[in-house]
Amino acid sequence: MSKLGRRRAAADGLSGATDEGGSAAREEAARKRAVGERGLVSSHAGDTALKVANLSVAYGNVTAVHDASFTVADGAACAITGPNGNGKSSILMGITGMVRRKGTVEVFGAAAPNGDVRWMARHGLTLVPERRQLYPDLSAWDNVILGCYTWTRSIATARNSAPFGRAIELFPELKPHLRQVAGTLSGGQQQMVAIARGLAANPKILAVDEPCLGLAEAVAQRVYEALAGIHADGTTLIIVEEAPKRALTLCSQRVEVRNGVTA
Amino acid sequence: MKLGNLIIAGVVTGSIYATFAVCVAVWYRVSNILNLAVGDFAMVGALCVDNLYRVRGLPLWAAIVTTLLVVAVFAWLYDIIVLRLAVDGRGRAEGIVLTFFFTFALSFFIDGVAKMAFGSDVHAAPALWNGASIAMADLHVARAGILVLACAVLIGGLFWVYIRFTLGGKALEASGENALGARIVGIDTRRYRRWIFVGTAVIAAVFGIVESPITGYTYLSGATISLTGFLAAAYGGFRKPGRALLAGLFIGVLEALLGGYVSAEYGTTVMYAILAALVLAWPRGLGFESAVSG
Repeated sequence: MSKLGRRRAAADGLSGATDEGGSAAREEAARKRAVGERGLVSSHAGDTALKVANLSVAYGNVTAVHDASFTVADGAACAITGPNGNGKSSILMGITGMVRRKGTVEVFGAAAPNGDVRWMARHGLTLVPERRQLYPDLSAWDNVILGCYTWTRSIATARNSAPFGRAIELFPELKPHLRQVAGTLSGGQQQMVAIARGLAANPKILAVDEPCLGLAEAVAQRVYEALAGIHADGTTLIIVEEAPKRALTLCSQRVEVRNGVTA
Repeated sequence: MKLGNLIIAGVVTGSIYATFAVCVAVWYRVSNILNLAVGDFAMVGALCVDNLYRVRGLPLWAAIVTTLLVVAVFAWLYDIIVLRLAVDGRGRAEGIVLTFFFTFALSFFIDGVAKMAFGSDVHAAPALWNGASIAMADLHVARAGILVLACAVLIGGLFWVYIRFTLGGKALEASGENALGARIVGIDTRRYRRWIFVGTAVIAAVFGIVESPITGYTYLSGATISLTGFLAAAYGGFRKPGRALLAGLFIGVLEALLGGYVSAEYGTTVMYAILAALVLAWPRGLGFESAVSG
């Protein structure tokens, strides 16, 4: 690690997870939820959905995240908060394997290989990334159904599946625009498509990066209503938010990231 | 009816350019590499079938099957050995080196091997559908030309159905549109890169086998076809297979008309001059801007 990285790492104030009284009812709902139609994850290891230990992410010589450790219980909603540029998104990128990391990540007890986003998707952790990462020349409908690619190769199976049904019903206001090319949708509509695509992947853990960035207040509210609905159905949520106020209306657990690297 | 016959001949050649252009465009979307060796696979298809059938005496069907298998296995090996090291490894090649270098080298390599194996004379695979060309009024269509068109329509149609109606096809489009977004939903873009490359090589070989009775091939014929397919793909901005298809047909017809009315000898030269002028006149309208900006 560079000098700069070391110094910043020393100042790094990533606090541990603090569970502020998680909802027992939610956890019960999560337990009741089927292990998954895919059967790819054989069993839940205890009640831990996600376990992150000593996670570090560096871009070249610059350390963005240093020694992050926290766990998220199955069925919980966890907010990762902190000022801009403190490494919140990098934590999520490191967990999902979008960037290479040091440290270990376990999803329902299974150790995740480093740098393998597809493994994560197949094992139930789906990312709704920052800037949405849609397929701009495909229709909104195509974007959503591609979420099903994590667990099926058959378009007929995908179309008639419960996860796809839930995803399409999630935002009724999106229905008139489903045939529209995704690149021409408004920012809010694109965010809805991104979340719907994540839900179509039938995730056990849905990780959402800055879901309200650049959205009007009313749209942001709708996004949070939808996330609350997904959570109420038993899906574990991880939300990265710069402004903790809104996230904490939904999340009972908070991981605060401070004094990270502004790179 | 000279005009009609020229247009028919142009559409036949154009359909090959169009198919190759679509192959180049689709693979570029997925891999960010331009396939400059696509025509060389066509040349190998024609000359290898000729060699196995005429020189080594294999039955025609066995010669064709063996050739296609050899091409497929070679393309597959090239991907898992060269491209995997070059593109997926830690010292990942990027930019213009990645876009041109590896397939350019492959093109030379194939030409060299073909010269050693098949010599430098003009050869052609035996005609699959024998007989005089089919005449309607004053229009004449070579039987091989009909086979070429049939192959183009069949392959194009199957590809369209795959893209339109299967999740795998949509995933292929998604990997072309946004590689990061594709990985998020578990799409293996590397696997698409591999199988489209192998598929392209086999399709090119099929066209070489079917078309060679019309023109005849030498070990150097591949580069010209590659260049024209590549140009057609360029007119589609390398990322729009639909435009590439139209451009391929257009270039084929233009080539035939120039050959017929201007000069058989200098027709191709004039054609390249016209194509270059078109690029200078409407770089944006022809999609070059999107090719440059990626």
